[in-house]
Amino acid sequence: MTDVLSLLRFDLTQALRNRGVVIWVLLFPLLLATVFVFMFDGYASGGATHAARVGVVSDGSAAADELTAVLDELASGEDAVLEVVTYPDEASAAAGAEAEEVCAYVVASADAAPRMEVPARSTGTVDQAVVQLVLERYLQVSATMATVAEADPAALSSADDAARLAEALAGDDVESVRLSVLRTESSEFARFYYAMLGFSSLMGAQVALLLVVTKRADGSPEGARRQLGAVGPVRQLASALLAAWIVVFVCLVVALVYIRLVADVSFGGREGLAVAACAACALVSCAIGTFIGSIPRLSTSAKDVICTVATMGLSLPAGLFGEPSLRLADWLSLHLPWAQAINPAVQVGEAFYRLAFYDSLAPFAQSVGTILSISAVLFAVAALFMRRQRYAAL
Amino acid sequence: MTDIVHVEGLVKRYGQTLALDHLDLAVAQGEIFGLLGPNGCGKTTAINCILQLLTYDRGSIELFGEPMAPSRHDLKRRIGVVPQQVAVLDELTVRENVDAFCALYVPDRRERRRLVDEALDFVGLAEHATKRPRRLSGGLARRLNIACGIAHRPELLFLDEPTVAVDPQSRNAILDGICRLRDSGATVVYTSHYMEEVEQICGRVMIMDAGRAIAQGTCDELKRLIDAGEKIVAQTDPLAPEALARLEALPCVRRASYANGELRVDCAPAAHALVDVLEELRATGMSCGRVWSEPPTLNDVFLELCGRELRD
Amino acid sequence: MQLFRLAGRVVLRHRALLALYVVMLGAFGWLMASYVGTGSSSYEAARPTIAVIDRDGSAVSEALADYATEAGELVELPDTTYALQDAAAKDLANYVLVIPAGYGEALEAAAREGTEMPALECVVSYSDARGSLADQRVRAYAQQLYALLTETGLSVEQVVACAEEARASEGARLEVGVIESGDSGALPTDYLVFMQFSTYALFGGTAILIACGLRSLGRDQPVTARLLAAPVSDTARGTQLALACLGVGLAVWAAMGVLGTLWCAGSLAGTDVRLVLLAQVPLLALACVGAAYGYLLWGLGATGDLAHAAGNMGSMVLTFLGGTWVQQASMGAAVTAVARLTPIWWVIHAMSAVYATDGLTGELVASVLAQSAIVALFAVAIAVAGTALARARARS
Repeated sequence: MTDVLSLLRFDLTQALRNRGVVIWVLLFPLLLATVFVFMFDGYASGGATHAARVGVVSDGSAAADELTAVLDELASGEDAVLEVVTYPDEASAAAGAEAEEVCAYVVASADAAPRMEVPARSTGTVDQAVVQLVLERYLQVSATMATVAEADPAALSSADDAARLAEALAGDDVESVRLSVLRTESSEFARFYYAMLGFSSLMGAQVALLLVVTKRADGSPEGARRQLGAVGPVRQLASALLAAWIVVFVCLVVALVYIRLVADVSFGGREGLAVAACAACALVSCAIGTFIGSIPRLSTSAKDVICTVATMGLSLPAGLFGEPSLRLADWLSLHLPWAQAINPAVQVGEAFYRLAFYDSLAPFAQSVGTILSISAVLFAVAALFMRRQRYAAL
Repeated sequence: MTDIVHVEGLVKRYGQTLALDHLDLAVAQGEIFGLLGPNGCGKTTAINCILQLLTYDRGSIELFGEPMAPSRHDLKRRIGVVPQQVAVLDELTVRENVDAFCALYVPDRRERRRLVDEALDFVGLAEHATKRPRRLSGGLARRLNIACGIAHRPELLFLDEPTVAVDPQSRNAILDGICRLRDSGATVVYTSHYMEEVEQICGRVMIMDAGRAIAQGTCDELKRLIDAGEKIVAQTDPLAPEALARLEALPCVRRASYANGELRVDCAPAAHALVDVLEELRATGMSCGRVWSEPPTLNDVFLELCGRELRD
Repeated sequence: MQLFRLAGRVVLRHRALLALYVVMLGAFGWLMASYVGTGSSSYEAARPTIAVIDRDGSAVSEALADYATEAGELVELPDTTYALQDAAAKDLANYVLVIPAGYGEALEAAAREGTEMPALECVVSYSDARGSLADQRVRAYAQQLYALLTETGLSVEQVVACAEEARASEGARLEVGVIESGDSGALPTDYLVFMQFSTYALFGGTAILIACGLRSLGRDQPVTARLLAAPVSDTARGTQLALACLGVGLAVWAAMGVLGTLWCAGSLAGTDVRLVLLAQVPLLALACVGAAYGYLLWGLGATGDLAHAAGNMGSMVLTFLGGTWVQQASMGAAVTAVARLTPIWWVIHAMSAVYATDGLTGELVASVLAQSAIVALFAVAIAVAGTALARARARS
């Protein structure tokens, strides 16, 4: 044991003095998290309380004025649904819509029913649907009045009754209460931070890769020298893996603390378990590095490339790279769930996600279990590879 | 004979350190000039100053009878350099490397093709022409390093330790090649730590230490500079201490010792040392088996002049 | 120009770097672009995913549940806390409508007898505004039922039927048209997105290609002695190597241009070629900035991880500030103020101007050229810094 501990010191020094490890495993996730903080800060102030911008072209008739009054009312107040931009004619409104100044424009005239026009470049947006809903509610008032006139003429016996019904139809009495079912307030941004922890775990694989390659006789000249030493290869490997695990674990915890305190990302008050999850993540990262490091008949630089490509490739479906990759992640979850289940980057992200948002710890335990299983499989394959190489010609 | 390289009073300082201390150097046309010295004595600095790769503080440098300056491309065109490290591009093949560096001197592509072929043949790399440098053995890489320096047929060639870490066959091939270059009219300035190489190919040698030239001349001239003669070794029966004392008493003998059936006698420079020693042995009644004499080597000269203590 | 050619040849041999920083980053831009709608000639309203948990079972609640299936794509969800959490956490439904027990009766009572208004419950997705849209739709429908219950004497069933009929009637349908852009030749959105993401490769990719690809020609490398001893003047050598860096930038720009045109060929058909070329101008200026940055890193002797880190991290921060990942309009004022001091912001600003137009005007060309000139100034500044550093590290 003492020999392993003394080797550990050198392995830790080797890993921590490696510029690549410091840059990619420690600093890069922090930079990424910082970029996220600024990025989502902008979104929070710009996106959350956003009103759909709609253009209006009116011919100035009474019917048109009635509609614009409705739109203007919805555009006033603090929680305005709309933001109205008035255009003098349809051509300028169309130009405004094409230039994405407004999501759509509405033509209000005395001769015809109101009409909405959307730019061909973006159709079917949520903003357009909001404008559509507002206009359809406006149109439905008279349509409903017409059906009531048939079904219950008494209800419209006087002008007052009719006005009251119209007012009630256009009203806003029905309420809905938003339930918060999750343990902590969820946000679309939390998912990015969790995915980033998955990405960091994979980045950490290069620590184990570095240490394993410099321990293997066929990996590097210093590895060959080490294998001539009096300490057996298993002990040397044990110290390398322990060192890699410590380094990755510490880096993950640093990243965790950073996103908890600076980015204010919630772990649902289960920070202790989050640290435990980091331990499992560090283990899978060591397993990946060991596995790649043990692949026979492959140069060290080729292994580095595999490690980088694996990190980027596996992080993509974890949803790190914005909306499109999130959609890819959702698509994979739906159509190829096993591909997500065996992807360590996805499972790491999921583990933190489940920890933060579910009352039950079972889903979290399931994710951690998957991470541990992936690690076990990778370690087993790596051991097989290494046994085969034992007597291979160097 | 004209001097191809003529350096006078060259001084180069790195801060407080004096790297070259009023160095004078003259290399004649068509000779292989050896530059010897311990590590850090200023050999490479001197070459770099001559080539204008480094600025210097004082002194004059003339090449081909004309003052050398960084902008003298006409002179640079006539010079070839083989640096100490293998200075080739890993991205290019052997042939492309030679071609790329030759292109800096010879713009015409057709002529260059011929020169590159000749250079590859010269160093025996023709069959490795399409390989990348990192796939070459140490000796082949050294030969590529040379090919890159000679392809444009320089009249003056600087070779900075070109045979470091190569096997005897490659070394012989390299040394033969250098002699052939000289025979074809090139002047060579050659630095090395291998004394026997220098002795083998260099017409004249300069020994440098601490940035200064401490001795200069042909190998024989240098050997005469030191106060040491031949070493005589004789296989004899064990010698009595008195017999050894008598041998040491001879005027031509510095020291005599006996071990493992061999008598070793270090002599002072003298014309009849071997005869005197043999006569003395015969006088004591000793019979000898094999007897041989080793004349002083350049190595002895070097150690004598530069000292035997370890350098930093 | 032997050195220029040599440098070009050396960079081209770094195939892994080319694959990673040109082809892969290009493919990434294409992936991002492929998720953007390429425009459509017909309008279809956004349809959120909706789940309904009906704890009431009344006529009103059934009507609401039926309506929800019309207002969006229905997702089946069991009525358990875990299922609700799962749906919310994974965003299985943009909107989960929970109709509390007794809601139908309470709504009717509130309408007819003026008792307290009951509330619907819902779980609204954090992912985008679709959840809120669904909520607005459901509330609008419930409001219709409430209004009819309040102001008419119809039974609940009749009210539901009446509302159905009203909504199905001709007059209640909004006519939505798609603006005929004709043959204005405006840039397609996916091409804009591709170009926005190509800024990463143009800046960081170019810089890394230069810093790593030209490493073996660096000042601290053994080959330098050969280059310095050759009959090439300092100025010619420096100029040729600087031009080689610029050449790498131009090559990456051209490669991204070709990849973009190939990948977005479908949507680019009918686009005004002059607009496409105009949008390339700021990108070309950015490639020069990338080349200058690479030249600086190369001059500083950055190797391996350091060069990759400087290129990637620099690119990440600048593309973020520039507005590649988030729209410039969504950025906070402080971030925008800083972003204006960076080149990619101007590139994306200029490209957005080209995107927004539907025809080439002199004013637009002038504005794009002016912004490209600002970007080019960054290149000049960085290149001057690089040259100064190279000079400082030269012969000593």
